[in-house]
Amino acid sequence: MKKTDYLKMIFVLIAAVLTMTGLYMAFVWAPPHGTHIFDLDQEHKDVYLAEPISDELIEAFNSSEEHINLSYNATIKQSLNQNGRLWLIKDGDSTFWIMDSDTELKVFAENMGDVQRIFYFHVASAWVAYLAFIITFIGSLAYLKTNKMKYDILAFSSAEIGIVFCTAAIITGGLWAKGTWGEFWRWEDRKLFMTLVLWLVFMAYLALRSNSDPGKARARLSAVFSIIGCMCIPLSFAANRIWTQSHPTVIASESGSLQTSMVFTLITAVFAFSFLYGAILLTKMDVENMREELEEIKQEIGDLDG
Amino acid sequence: MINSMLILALMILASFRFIFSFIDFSETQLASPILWITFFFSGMFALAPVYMREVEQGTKEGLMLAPISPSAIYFGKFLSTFVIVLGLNLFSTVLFFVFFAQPFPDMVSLLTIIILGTVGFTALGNLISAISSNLSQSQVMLPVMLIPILLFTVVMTSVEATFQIFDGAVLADIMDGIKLILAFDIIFVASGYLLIDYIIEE
Repeated sequence: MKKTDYLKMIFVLIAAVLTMTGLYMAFVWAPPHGTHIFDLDQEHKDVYLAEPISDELIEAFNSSEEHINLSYNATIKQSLNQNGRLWLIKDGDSTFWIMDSDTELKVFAENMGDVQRIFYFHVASAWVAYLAFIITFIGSLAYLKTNKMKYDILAFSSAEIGIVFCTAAIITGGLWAKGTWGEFWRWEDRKLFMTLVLWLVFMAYLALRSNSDPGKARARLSAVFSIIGCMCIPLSFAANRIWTQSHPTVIASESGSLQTSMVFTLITAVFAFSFLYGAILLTKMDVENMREELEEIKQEIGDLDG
Repeated sequence: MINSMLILALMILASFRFIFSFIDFSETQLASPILWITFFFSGMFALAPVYMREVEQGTKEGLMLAPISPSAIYFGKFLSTFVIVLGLNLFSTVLFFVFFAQPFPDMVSLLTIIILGTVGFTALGNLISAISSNLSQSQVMLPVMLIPILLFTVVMTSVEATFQIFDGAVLADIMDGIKLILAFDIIFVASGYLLIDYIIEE
């Protein structure tokens, strides 16, 4: 066995152990409930629990006609008090929340239940997708610098795995968003947009690879393309004002932060997916190397026949 | 060649006019997207044959044998396509005001955005066109590779700035957008200059 075979086995083992642990943590250990997600305009983040909520406010809430039902079991009504208009929010546990009226209310979720568990898969696959694309970028740079085929194989294998994980991240993200925001996609969200653009760029990268003959020329062209793609996309997102932020920036329980058990589950999931990525990458690179050897052997046989 | 590009630009604008004929256009905010979609697609057809022609006519070897660097070839192609695409865009802009009864915005800023956007468009478009000329199905591969990169950088920024211009902004109001497009122009020209060696070499 080669050295990489041992490495691959170790990666697979670690990934398997971590995946089992992560699944146990996500479905048994970590609580599915008790997560509030507030997702507000950047400028108005001052969400606060009014304590104590006066009886008048509750009465105002109950008597008010105007209300918005959110996707989760929370009700929102507008109300008036001496400070002007207010959002009054009543969630499933009949906890009252209160917010400034100029706070643009976008998402409010309480008791997310099983939908929350998609989160672990979503974050981990998105992380692996970004990692894979960065490795493609590095591999492409290294190929142009050194002209060694192994870097081209690294870049291509990583891009292909990245596409798979990116697709998974987009699908799980859509499911999660349907459960929390009530819609599958938000065009005004920067992170969603960026992930989609990266996905498109690397789909074009794979199309380029499949429309070109194997060899040095293909390696050069695809390296140039992936460098341009990876360079431009983050730049355009670093500098624009088209999008408003609506990705969950505040993930808070009532105590004010993600619950500890959920943090540990998330970290486990991220590590499990990273090792899985490593194992798949090594396997994929082996396959590509073998394909290249096969081509060489075919060439030799052809030469002998001739 | 140039004739058919002008006709294509006319056709794209006419198709927009037909599609939007039952919308009260003066109420809509579609002027800047229509303008830039027309620029993008007519410009793409201007870019497609730039390197393909060399391959088809067998003059690529001659170009590579010439005692000039690939960057010089790139800049030559860049300048010639820039002139063609800019002419095409100005022609489309004139047609646009004929077809759609828009009040005239601040022309200085509109021209600035069109010129700067065209620089970025041709700089990156030439590079991608050089890549796609080496591929099978190069006619399909050019838009496939161009759309995700170009549409989300130069074109989207230009659309936003043009939108502000149609909204009544003057040059001083759109400085942010101009700076951003200038940054993209510099990046695309620089990456074309640095990376063209790897594409043209055999």
